[in-house]
Amino acid sequence: MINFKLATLNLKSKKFKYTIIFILIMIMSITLFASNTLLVSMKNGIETSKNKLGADIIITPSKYEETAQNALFNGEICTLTMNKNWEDKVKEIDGVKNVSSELYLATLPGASCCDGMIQLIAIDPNNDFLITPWLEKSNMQGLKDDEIILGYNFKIKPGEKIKYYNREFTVVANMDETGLGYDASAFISYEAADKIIKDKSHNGKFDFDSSFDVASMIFIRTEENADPAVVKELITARFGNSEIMPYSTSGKFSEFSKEMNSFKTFAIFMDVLLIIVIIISLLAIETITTVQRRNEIGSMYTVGISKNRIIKIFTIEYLIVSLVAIIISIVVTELIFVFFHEWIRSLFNMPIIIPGVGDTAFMLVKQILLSLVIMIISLSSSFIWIKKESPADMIKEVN
Amino acid sequence: MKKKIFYIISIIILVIGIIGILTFAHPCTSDKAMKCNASSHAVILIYATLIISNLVCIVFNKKKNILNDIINLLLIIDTILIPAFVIGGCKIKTMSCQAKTFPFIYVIGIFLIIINIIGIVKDRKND
Repeated sequence: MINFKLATLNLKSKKFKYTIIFILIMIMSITLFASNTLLVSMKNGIETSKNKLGADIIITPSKYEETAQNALFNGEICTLTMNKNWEDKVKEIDGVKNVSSELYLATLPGASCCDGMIQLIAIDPNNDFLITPWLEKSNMQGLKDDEIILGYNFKIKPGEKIKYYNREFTVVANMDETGLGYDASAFISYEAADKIIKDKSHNGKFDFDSSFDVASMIFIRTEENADPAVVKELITARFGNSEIMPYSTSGKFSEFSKEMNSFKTFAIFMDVLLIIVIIISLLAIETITTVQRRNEIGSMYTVGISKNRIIKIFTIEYLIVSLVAIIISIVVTELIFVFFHEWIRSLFNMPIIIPGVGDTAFMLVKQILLSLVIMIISLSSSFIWIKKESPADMIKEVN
Repeated sequence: MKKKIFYIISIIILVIGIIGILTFAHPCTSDKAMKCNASSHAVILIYATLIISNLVCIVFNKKKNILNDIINLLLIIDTILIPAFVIGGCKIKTMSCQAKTFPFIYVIGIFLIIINIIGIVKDRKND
C-alpha cells in the first residue's frame, strides 16, 4: 500500500513524462485493438454469412453476375431478372436437393421509411430455405400479400406499417443480423410482388408482366453426399453459355477470406512496426528519466529502501499509467466500432459483424499481456542500471 | 484560468461538430423535407448557441456560474436526445444519417458531457 501511495505521488510530480507515456500506450492500444477488432469482425461476418446463407450454389443472370453478387453480399440495390423456369430445369440436375428463387425489386425513391431506395425481395415461403428457417423460429406460417419481413438494419418493429410502391405492408418480423445484403432488404411474397408489378401506376417501371415468370437469383442446396463444385460443373456443362451463370458460395466466401488474409498480413506488419517504435520510444524515455532520477533513487537507497522495492515502485507507476491508457483506449475503440459500425462496414466490401463480449474480453486480456511484455522490455535497461549502480554513485553530483 | 480551458475545449469540439455535420458526416440528401435533416439542423443550431454561450462565459464571466454550466450540460444532452428520440431520422441503419451523422453527434455529445462534467467538478473543488 505504501508502495502504491509513493507511486501515485511520483505520478503527480512527473506529469509530463507520464503524459507522454500515456499517449504512446494509448496510440499503441487503439491501433492494435482496432485492427484486432476489425479482423475479428471480418471473420465473424464471413462465418455468420456462410451459416445464414444456407445455399451451396447460386444462379444469376449471366449478364448481371456482378450486379447480383453485389446485391446479395454488399446490399447494392437493383432490379434484375431471368426466366423463372430455370428453377425447374436445375432441379433435374444430379445432386440438387432444394431449389429456391428470389426476385429483387429496387423500390422507388421516397418510401415511407426513408428517402433512399430499398431492396425489396420477393420470396416463396413454400420452397424458400434461406429465410424460412428464421420464419419457423418466429412461428410464422407463410407470408400474406400485405405482410413484410424486414432485415436487421431496419428500425421498424413488428406490427408497424410501411409503404412501398404505394402499398401498405404490416411488418411481421425482423431478421437476425446476417452480414449479407439481406440486412438492408425487405421481404414480401411473390403474390405481393405480382400486385405491385400489375399496378397500372407503375407502368414502365418493370419490363415483365408477372412476378411468377421471373426470378433474380436461384439458390441451390446440394445433397449431403454431393460435392457443390461438381454440381456446379454439371449445371455449367448442361446450361453453360446461356442465360444463366452458376457460382459456388464457398468460392465467394473463400474470396472474402483471401481479402481478409491480405488485410491481416498488412495489419500485422503495421502492428509490429508500431510496437517496435513504441518499445524504442519507451526504452529511451525510461532510461533517460531513470538516470535523471539518480539522486532520488540514491537517496531512497541510502535511507534503507531496498533496490527491489525501488523497482517495485517504478513498476507500479508504469502499471497504473498503462492500465488507465489501455482501458480508455478500449472504451474509445469500442465506442467507435459500436457507433460507426455501418460506416466501417461500408468501407469494406465484405460482411462485418462486431465481436461480442467474449471476443472483446479475450482481446482485452491479450492487450494487457502485450503491454506487460512491452513494459518489461522498456523498463529492463533502467532496472539493470539501478541494480548495477552503487548508492554513492547515484547521489554523486555529476557537474 | 483552469475553467477557461474547458470552455475553449468545448468550443473546439462544437466547431468540429458543426463542420463534421456539414461535411463528412452529413445526413441523407434529398429535395424533400426529411426528419434526419431536421434533426441535424436542430443540433447545429444548439451547437451554435453553445459556442456563443461558452464565448460569453470566457469573455464576461468573472464569477463562477454553476447555473450556466448546468444549462449548457442540458443543451448538450438535448443534442443527443433530438436525433435519438425527439425528431429522429431514417429508419434504416445503413442510411447516411444513421451510419454517420447520428453516431458523430452522439460521440461529440459524449465528449462534451465529459468535458463539462470535469469542468464543473474542478470548479466546485476550487470553491
